Amino acid sequence: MITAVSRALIIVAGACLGETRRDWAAAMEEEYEAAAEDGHPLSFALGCLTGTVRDMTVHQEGRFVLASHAVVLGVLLPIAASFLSALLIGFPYLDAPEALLAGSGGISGVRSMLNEGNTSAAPALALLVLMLTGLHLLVGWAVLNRDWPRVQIIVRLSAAATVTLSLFTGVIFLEPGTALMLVTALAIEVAAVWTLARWHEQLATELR
Amino acid sequence: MTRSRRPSNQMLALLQALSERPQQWRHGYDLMKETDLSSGTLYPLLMRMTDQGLVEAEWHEPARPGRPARHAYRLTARGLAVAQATQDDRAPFGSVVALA
Repeated sequence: MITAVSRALIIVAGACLGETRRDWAAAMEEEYEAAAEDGHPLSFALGCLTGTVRDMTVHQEGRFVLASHAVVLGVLLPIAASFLSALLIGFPYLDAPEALLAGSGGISGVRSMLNEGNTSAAPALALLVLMLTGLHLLVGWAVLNRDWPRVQIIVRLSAAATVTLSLFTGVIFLEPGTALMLVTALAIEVAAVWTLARWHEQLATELR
Repeated sequence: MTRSRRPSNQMLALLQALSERPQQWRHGYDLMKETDLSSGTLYPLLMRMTDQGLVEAEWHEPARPGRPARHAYRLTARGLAVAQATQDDRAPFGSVVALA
């Protein structure tokens, strides 16, 4: 167990060093074997990980990696989680604020925003929200892989889904607050991802 | 602009260990044991010193067959000069770096 954890930590430490320090990542992995033979694999691996994370803050590339993880974990994942939890309590076709107050188990008596004429839209609306949740997860993965063409495609799909949902909630439900929330989430996502992409482009130019 | 900062105690310990046998290549884990530095301190220090031209690093074939190559380190001429200067305490770190 300790060996497996130590090995995982060394691999993560090596990954934290980035492309320019690949030799050093390999060096630490090889020295890990010596430490393991000496009976200190975990302390060696933990030390390497803390050292590399500290070293990341000193270099541009390291700061970029930390920032991109912060954006994914601190912005994109929470947005995805918000969509998923909202979906579970009936967003967008239940009156969202009251549904949130009612909690996931107490949605009885909450006003439905669909009428007899358009209640069949509920599954499609739910699917759109689920799609938005998935797209936020996918864009996070693409950002961490620095796959900017894929990020562009996913963000366009997110925008399309957001516009569709906003039209439903803003026009048919006459609920501008929800539309505003959706557009704000998209704007935050686009701003964060665009900033990272520009930063990465600048880094790539400097490293050439 | 040259930085005129005195080396940290950790860097001094590493310089001393490497300067005891300056021509000999040393492995990371051996340096750790000799200097009592943790891996989290040693490797960032080695990386910085290599970037500054004080240490050179290269891959060496393993002593035992079937094992992977190991990274080895030793002081450059500049690193040796810094080590000697800090040991003798003849000149501040910054002026040695400026002269090099």
